[in-house]
Parts: sequence; structure tokens; C-alpha cells
Amino acid sequence: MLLDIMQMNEGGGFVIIQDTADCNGRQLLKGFVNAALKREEVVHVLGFDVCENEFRAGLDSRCTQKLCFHDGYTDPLGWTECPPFTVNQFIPQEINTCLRQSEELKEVILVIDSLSWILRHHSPAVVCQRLQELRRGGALRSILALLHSDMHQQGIVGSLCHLATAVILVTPGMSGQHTVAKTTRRTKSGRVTREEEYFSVSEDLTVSIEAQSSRSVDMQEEPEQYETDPAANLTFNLRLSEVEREAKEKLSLPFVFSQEKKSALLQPRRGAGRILYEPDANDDFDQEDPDDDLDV
Amino acid sequence: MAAPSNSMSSSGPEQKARLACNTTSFQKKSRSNFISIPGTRPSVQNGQLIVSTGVTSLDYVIGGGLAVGTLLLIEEDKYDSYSRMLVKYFLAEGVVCGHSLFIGSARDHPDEILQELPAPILDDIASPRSEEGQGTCDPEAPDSMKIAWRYQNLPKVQTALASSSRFGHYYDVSKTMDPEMRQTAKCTSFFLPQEVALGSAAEPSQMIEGYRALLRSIQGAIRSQGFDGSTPSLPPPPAAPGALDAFLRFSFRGSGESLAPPTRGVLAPSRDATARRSLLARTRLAALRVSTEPALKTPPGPACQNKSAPLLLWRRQTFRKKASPDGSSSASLWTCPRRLHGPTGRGPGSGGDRRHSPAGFSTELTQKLERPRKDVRKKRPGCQGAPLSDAAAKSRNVLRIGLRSLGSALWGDDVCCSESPAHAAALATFLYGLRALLRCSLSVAMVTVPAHLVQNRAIMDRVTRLCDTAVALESFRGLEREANPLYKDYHGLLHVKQTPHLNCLVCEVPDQKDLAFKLKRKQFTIEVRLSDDTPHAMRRTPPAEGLSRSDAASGRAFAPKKNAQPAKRVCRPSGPPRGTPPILVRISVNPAPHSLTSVSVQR
Repeated sequence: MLLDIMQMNEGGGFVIIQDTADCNGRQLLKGFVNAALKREEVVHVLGFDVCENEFRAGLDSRCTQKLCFHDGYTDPLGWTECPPFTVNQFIPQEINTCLRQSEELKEVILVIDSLSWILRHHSPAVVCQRLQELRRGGALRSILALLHSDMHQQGIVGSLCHLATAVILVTPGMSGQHTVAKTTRRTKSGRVTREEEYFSVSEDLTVSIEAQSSRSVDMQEEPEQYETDPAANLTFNLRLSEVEREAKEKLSLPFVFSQEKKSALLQPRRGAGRILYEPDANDDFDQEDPDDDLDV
Repeated sequence: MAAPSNSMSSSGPEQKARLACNTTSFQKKSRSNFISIPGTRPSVQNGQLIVSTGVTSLDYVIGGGLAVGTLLLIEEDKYDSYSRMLVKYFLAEGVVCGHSLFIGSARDHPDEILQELPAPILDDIASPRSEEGQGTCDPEAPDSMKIAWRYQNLPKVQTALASSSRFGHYYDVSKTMDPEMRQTAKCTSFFLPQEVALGSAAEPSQMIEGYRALLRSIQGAIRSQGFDGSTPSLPPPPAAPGALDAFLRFSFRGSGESLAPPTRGVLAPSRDATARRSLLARTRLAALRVSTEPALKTPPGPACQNKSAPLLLWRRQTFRKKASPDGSSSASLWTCPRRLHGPTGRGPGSGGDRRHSPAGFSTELTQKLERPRKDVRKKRPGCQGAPLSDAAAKSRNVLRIGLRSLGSALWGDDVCCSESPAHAAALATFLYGLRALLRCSLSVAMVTVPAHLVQNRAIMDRVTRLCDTAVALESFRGLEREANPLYKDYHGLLHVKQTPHLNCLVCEVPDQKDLAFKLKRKQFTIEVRLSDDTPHAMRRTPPAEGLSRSDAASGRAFAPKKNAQPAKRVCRPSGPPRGTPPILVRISVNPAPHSLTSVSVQR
């Protein structure tokens, strides 16, 4: 499922990579970015945690021109004359103008490295609102954000993850080289899938799945239950064969009128009664329902 | 002409004229007391006008349905998948019954929610041909009758209720509602990003701007469409003057400093807690008295105004207390309920601080409470029996308000983010305002709150107290429990946290607390969770048989009635006597309780 998410097929997706001090998630983030660049997609990075050179290191050099790095690392608070990008510019309008600098009108992927820095300078509610606004704006294909979850209160992490379409929690695995990704993804229809995967990121930033400890959950509305026919296996006969039915219908019952007499009686006459009934929910309520105690 | 009218030809000409249109002089007694709004019915427990939540088994669990004028809280499950379904069911039920809708959301656009409404399973679509089959008598027709053939030529009689007037429907989750049907619904939508521009974070008052705008919008919808008993044709009053404004001004103003954690308000010390409890009990009594008043038919006028004042007074005091950080005003608050029992309700203490003077608040609400009564008096002299009250009934409708994920960060609220939020009282204040609006209008609201994100349990408790009915969903999705064989048949647990006390001291308590839910394609069922040693007699899953009634719609007049309404079968009147007067909304529902007698006197 990690590789599925990496495809970023879903429009308006919001993927959060959660990491802790035990296990850095930036390698996985760069793996995602590299995969997107290889698909020739436009990637914009809001970088606060590491400098541009460090971020670009290891990325496929052939297609890095599609990558646009907005440097919030050198001067995040705008202390110098002309800062390249500050944390105060984390407003949907500002970001949209930044994105429009690239000449192409293709939908872009916005990478935020990392949300933790932004959360230090904006209130969580505002960050949530602006992220949601960015998603709705339509200019973005998806948002990919790194979040150092051990730096924030649980409620803030929970609120952000509540907005996300997929959350990847990165934890160290049992053996040294593998890392465990606990992925929770929910679709628009409200379906939730969870998976645990062991993955590794190689030198050239390709992500490969080593093993799956999958407890894949795929719950949709269950199909209607088919009731077994109680008359299926009986020791006696309940059904009529065609011959038997004919014989039965030939038999004329007492007090059955001929067709002529019936139609004569059915002719509308003066003074015939009429049935007037106005449906009412109260009629269906039977005070003395004798079958009320039956469990049928 | 029909036989009965011939036999009664000796009666006066007036009667004859009535018979011509009505054919019988007998009227059903049960219907005369209530104006029938489609999709509503009086509760069997307390006579309250109730609407369905859209999920028949949920109706049963919370005691028959949602009383009009009350607020249902749904605590969201972790991934918001089932609570979202419940909101959709609630709104879809409104569309099918022809109710008006109000959708408030900060995340998904209300139009998207509207488009995703599930398709109702209606069985009367296939049988509009009730008039045909009049003349021909074809014995070879497949539905010709063999035994009861004398009825063959009689026109078919619709025995089942038209689906719009039935209570509670079933929905097919796999399909979405027909767009034509969707467009018949009168829907007001509130989408936060469109209503409130995202402001800068520096402004503290910005944080609750969302709630304020939402409350205004709801008030506008209630007023402009006449759910508060006013004539719907009138345009809404410009810029919402008076009551709500005053309320908003002094309750939202400066709430930032009002609840300095952790000593005040939310985390009140234990001494305060006991005092508050006793206050709560007393206030309930007072509220009971206040709300009984109109139903007891005291003459409207200044006396009535005084009697409904105490509740409002108490509310006002509460907000004033919040606004002032020192303890002095809180002392006056605790003494306040004693005044409630006084003859005038306006004690000397309340006169001392008139700075915020929300006089408009109380008088306006009182006016609202009284307005329907005035209408009644106006109508009564000219009331000629059924026709006028029918016309009045047609103009009445119910507004269903669905609000999603209140309290989440997208509303600008920070209760989800920190243990001691700066706006701890914002959500509660909003709910006070919403309740005040609901109580004096024909509307009912469903609110979902992401309770698992709310960090401070005290805030959640307070929110729960402010709602009338509270239901929590606990989904098994993504949990270890999912694999547990005990839970394999279910999708989650449902906790009924609170049911309302409406006009009585006891509330309807669900007989089973161990409830689990399951979302099937055509049904959202809530079942009593069973262990294997539960006797078979306990295995009653109330609404499961509801789907087998599709054939009842085409039945003839004498056909056995198969469409026993599922909720009805189990909702036997058990608790309070039936005579308990319906109170909360009755003032606006019931135009002329004595119209029948007054007409006969005139004659």
C-alpha cells in the first residue's frame, strides 16, 4: 500500500509521514519526491528543516529541474532584507502565487518539510484551516508533509491526521536495516485500510517493500444475508407437479359461480357500497396483537 | 349518490354540505390534537412531536425519535465514517419527508454532502396505478380474484401510507439519491470557508468567528422560512438585530480571558461542582415550570412574560459570569436560582448590572414564545373547522439542521488541540445559542463532534450536558478488536450517553446498554450484543422486519396489513402516563386546541 500511495493517483490527497526521534522519515519523504520526479511531475518543496543542497542530495539529477525548492531554511522569520520564503508566507494565496511562478499549468505536488516548523509559529487551528484551503483550491494534486509527531501534543497530531487521507507512521523495525511503515488510508467513501510494511530506502532513493505484515482491513457493507429455504429438505411433498395442478384446477368447488353469473353480479348497480379508507399510521398499531410475543 | 348520505338526509343543510365533501361525519380523534407535518408523529411516551433520525433502529434506541426542538449529539468514531453516514441518513430522511434542511460544514462542501445522500427505498413508486381496473372484468388476468371476486372491480385502495408521511425510511447506501428528488428539498447550506474569510491568526476574536457566523446563519434560516411561528413570507429582519446580537456580543466577547485554566469554569473545583449540580437541578425544575406554562393555557400577557423570564434570566447570568473573571459575580449567580421561584423572577440583584443589558434577548425570546399563541387567538373567531387549520398545517414544516465536526480545528476551535484551550467555552456557548433557537422553533438538529480528539474530558462532558440526546459511536475499524470473534458480526459499538428529560422527571432509558451497530447495504442496524448464553427471547432486533413490507403498498382494501411499523411494535407506552401535556413545541404546533368545541358552540 505504501507504493500505492506513492503513485499519488488520488486528486486532493493529503499524505502525512509521521516520524519520531527514533526513526527519521525524511529518507522516505525523499523517496516519494524522487518517485514523483521520475513520473515527470512538478514538485514544489517548502523547506524549513534542511537546506536546499541537503534536500537535493541523492535525488535523480536528470529530472531535478522539475523540482522547485522554496527556501525557508536560510531565513525563516524574515530578518534580512529580502528573505526567499518565510513561515509567515504560509497562507494559501501566497503559496498559490509561489506555485504559479513555474510556467506550466500542470497540477503540482506540494511537499512540506516539515509541518512541525510551521506549527511552531502558527496556531494548530490556523494550520489546519490553511491546509484544508490549499487542498480545496484545486491547484494542487496532493500535499505531502513530514511531521515530527513527538514534538507536539497528541491533540495537535490527532487533529492534523484527522484531515489527512493517508498517514504513514514510521517506526524502527526489529532488525537494523528495515523500517516499519504503519499506513492508514481512508477513502472518500469512508473506507479505512491499514497495513504494516517493512520497507527500505536504497542509495538512489528507491523505496522497496521487504515484507508485509499485512492485516489488511477491507470492510464494505456486507451483502444481504440469504435465508435458507425452510422447505428445501422435507420428508413430505409440498409442491404440485404440472399434472397434479391441472387435476386440482379441474375440480369445481361448491359455491363457485359460473363466469356469466359473476360478471352479471359484478356490473355496477345503484346503491352499491363503496370502500372508503384513508390510510393512517395509527391503524397499524394493534393494541392486542396476539403474535406480539412471537419471535419471528 | 352513496348510501350513507341518503340515510342521513334528515339532518340540516349545513351538515349536508359537509357530507358532500366528507361523506362521513366521524372524524378520527387521535389526529385532531396535532397538526400533522409529514414525517412527524407524537411520541407514545410523552406526546412530544418527534421526527425520525433516518435510522429506524436508532429511533428505537433513543426512545422513538428526536423530539422537535431538541439537539442530538453524535460523538464521531475515529475515522468519521459512520457518523458521517448518520448525518446523511438524517438529511435524507428530511428530503424524503419534505422537510427543510440546513447543512453546516467546515470540511466538505454542503453540496457534496447533499449529493452523497443515500437513495431511499420507496415502495410506492411502483404503484401509482390505483385508478385503473375500473371497468374491465377479465378472468384471465393474472391478478383476477378467485375467492373474493366481488371485490374485483372495486378501485384499489392505498392501504400503506404515502412514503412522505411515513415515519422513518430505509436507504440504499450503494446508490445516491435521485437528483430530482434532491432538488425538491429546500436546503440552506453553510460552508465555513465561504462565509468567513480566513483571517490572520493574531486576532483572538477570530477564533470563534465561525460559530458566530453559523449561529447567525441558522437564525436567518429559521426566521426567513418561518420556523419560529412567524409568517414565512416576511423577509428576514436586516442584520439580525436584538436578541442574538446581544447574546453574541456579550457571550463571545472576551471569552479568551474568562476561563483561565485550570481553576475556573471547565475545571471547576469540587465545591463549585456540587453547587453547580444543585443549581442544575433547580434550573431544570424551573425550566420545567416555564415550559409547562403555555400548555396550561394561562392567558398570555404580562404575567406570562414574567413567568418565562426566569429561565432566560438564569441564562443571562451564566454568560455574565463567564465574561467577568473575578469571583464576585459568580456568587450572585449561585443565588440566582432562588429568585427563579419568586413571584416576579426579576430580583433586585439582576438590576444592578445593566451594562450589557440584554433586555432584547429576554423580551424577544418571550415574544417569540408568545407569537404562536397570538396567532391562535387571531384565528379562533374565524375558524370554521378543518379548512383553515389545514391551511395552517400546510405552512408548517420542520427544519432539520445537520452540523458536521463541530469543535474540530477547521472551525477555528482549539478544543481538539490542547488540554487547556484558550476558547474552552466557545463550543458550549454556541450550543447554548443553538438550543435557544431550537427550543422556540420547529427545528431539530444533529451535531457531530470529534470527541476522540477533544483533549479535555470536562469540555466534552459539558457539551454532552448541553445536548439533549447524546450518542457515541465507537468503530472497530483499524483496531485489534476487529479481529475478535465476539465482534465479527458488527462494525462498532454504540453508546447511548444521554436521553432527554422532556416534560417529565424520568427519561426514557434504553432497556439494553450493550449495543452494537452494523452498516448493511440497505440498513443501518443497531442490535443488542449477545453472548451465547443469552436466552433466545432476548434476541429481539427491533427493526429487522421492516423491509418485508414492499408488497403491502399494492394490497387491496381488505388485505392484511403487513406494514407494521417496526419501531411501533416495540415502543409500547410504559413509562409516564399519556396525559402528560406535550410542552416544548406545542405552543407553536398546536394552533387551536379547542377549535372543535368553539365551532360547535357557534353552531
